[in-house]
Amino acid sequence: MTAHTNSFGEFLKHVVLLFGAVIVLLPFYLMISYSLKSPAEIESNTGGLIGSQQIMTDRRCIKEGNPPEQCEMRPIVYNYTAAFKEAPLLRYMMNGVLVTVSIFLIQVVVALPCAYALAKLRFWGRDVVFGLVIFCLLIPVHAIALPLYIMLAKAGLTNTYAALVIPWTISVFGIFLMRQFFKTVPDDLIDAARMDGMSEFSIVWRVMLPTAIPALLAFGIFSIVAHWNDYYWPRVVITGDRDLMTPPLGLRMFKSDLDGNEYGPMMAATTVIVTPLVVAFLLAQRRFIEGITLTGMK
Amino acid sequence: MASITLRNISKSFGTTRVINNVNIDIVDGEFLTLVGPSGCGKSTTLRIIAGLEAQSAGDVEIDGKVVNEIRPSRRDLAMVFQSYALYPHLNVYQNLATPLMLRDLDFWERFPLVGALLPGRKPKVQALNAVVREVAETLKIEHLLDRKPGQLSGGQRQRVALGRAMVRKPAAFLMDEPLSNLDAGLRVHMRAELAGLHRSLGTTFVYVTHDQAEALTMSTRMAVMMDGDMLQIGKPDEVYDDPQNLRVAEFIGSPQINVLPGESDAQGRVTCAGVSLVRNLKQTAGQNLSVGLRPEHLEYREKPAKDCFSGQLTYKENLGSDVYLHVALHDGAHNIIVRAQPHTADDISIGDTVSVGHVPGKALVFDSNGERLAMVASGKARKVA
Ligand SMILES: Nc1ncnc2c1ncn2[C@@H]1O[C@H](COP(=O)(O)OP(=O)(O)OP(=O)(O)O)[C@@H](O)[C@H]1O
Ligand SMILES: [Mg+2]
Repeated sequence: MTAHTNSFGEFLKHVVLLFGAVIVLLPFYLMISYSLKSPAEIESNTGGLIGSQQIMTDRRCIKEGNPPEQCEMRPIVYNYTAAFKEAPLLRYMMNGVLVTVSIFLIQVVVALPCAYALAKLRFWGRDVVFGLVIFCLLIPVHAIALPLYIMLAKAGLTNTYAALVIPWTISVFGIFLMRQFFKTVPDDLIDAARMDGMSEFSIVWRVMLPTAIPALLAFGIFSIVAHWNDYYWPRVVITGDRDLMTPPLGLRMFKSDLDGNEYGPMMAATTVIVTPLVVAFLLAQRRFIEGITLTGMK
Repeated sequence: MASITLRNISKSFGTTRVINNVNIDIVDGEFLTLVGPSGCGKSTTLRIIAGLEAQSAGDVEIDGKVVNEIRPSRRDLAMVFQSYALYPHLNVYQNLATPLMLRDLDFWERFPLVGALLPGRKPKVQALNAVVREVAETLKIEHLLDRKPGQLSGGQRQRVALGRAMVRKPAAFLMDEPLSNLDAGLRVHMRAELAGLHRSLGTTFVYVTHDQAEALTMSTRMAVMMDGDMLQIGKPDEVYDDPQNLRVAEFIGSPQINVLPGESDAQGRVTCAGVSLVRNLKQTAGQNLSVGLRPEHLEYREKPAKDCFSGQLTYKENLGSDVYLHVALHDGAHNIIVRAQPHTADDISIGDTVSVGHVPGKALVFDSNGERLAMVASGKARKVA
């Protein structure tokens, strides 16, 4: 009896999850599918996932006066070569890597000592400071975007990497997450390190950091995904210099470059931009979930 | 090696006072146990000695020098924690080597990569390696050096924690209930081993425990703490035989000492539960006394007599070598525990009325505040005994 209701409950759960998964995955399906198909197939909505991959002619190539036989290729090749040819996609991705990695590293350098102090040191006003951290979590980025922009502009930093990185170097979310994790590290461990002769700074980097790797990984994924995918802030501070564009911004430029319904190359570019994140997530998946559940402990 | 002195140490957390004016002189080379019930402030006292906690008042002296302002690592003390507190991400070798690296290598020599290139580093690391191996050998953990703490059993972790304290050859060891996470058998074994280690190292040990048996078996001297007060300091048998306070008497000894209400007359003669003691009080102290009788100072008697308690046997606690008889006295309000030989205990069964005599001259009498009262032999009593 219970087994029966259980399995029915399980079934229901899976239906709901499956439904959710379909909703989440559908755009990805479309993206990948479009990046593989020829414009005609996209327009007529035929060809299933990968299209028929029949040789097609690149109209633009012909327009540029090349002999037709040079302009014949398979849609998949066409889409992906166009993606890299039409826009400096690699440059954008390099920028993306540079910006997200710098942001993450500086965030860690700032957040770890802060989190340690908030979790493990007793000082006057600690609770107030922690309250402020929580409060800052509630402030939406967009609310302070304008003052930030003005400050950066006054400092002459717009259209630089610094403008992309500096506003994000203090992550209250990171401080909060790491503080919650550090709370679970036993005090004895820190006292033992003090007895051994470690300074408070060594404790942060030599004891807390290694024990906090799962939490750090979780934070890393949040941080890197957020800043890799960020469109809003680069759009605000990168106004002219195309060389500084991050992938999402580049994608937009790319779209405006191409005429109308060239979905194929655009989706190919999108696929290329999304892939590193998906791969990174799959690789770190287990540690990531560990990190999230660990921080929820105690 | 070092002597450690606490002078008028007090500690409050916010408004709660957890240590009241504690004074101890820990002699160089002794094994001093701080013992007391949970929450009495033992760990706090130890942490004040270590410098991990700042006292609210008073001085800590090591070898006669006040160290109040000196950082934990500069006090040359090593601490073993109840939870062992090993670095989880380092293997046993690295755990043992860390205190030495921090002491002997300078900042740049410890720095990853850069450090390896410095010329001064190699001999220091070799010296350190030798020390680690030697300690590992002493503690029989050489075969575990490559393992992480997570891959060790409780007893092995305990040894590593001990080793980490030993490598620096500190002036004194501080230990906070290091055995309480071990199973009963291993705990008894480790008691002997720790006592042996103390003998061979000859270093001062300050050992915290709530287990009075550990305190009695291992220490040169023990200090009994309760509610933040240092009640008595002395050799284990002194504290056991001659407790200065009722709470000390009740805490030390297992099974617990039997406490019966008593009263005294003008001559200082003490009676409890209808039985008169053979010794008189030095000074008269009136009513509301407590009389303490240890189970081994009571004995089962076959026939009732004037100097015997009588009651009903409610339970026989058989420990093999001894049997403890739980007796409900006929006054209906008190229970006493009596030690008996197994063959004597065989003859009685639960529900029987039994008579209990006491060994003369062993009763401990406390006043209404729990302070011990001195007694003298009375001429008359001597004849009876
Ligand atoms: N950081 C702190 N803040 C407030 N109170 C504390 C703090 N540390 C300890 N106390 C209190 O001080 C008292 C003594 O604590 P302590 O840890 O010294 O007890 P203990 O004798 O070691 O007990 P146990 O045998 O359980 O370890 C306890 O009542 C405890 O609640
Ligand atoms: Mg304690």
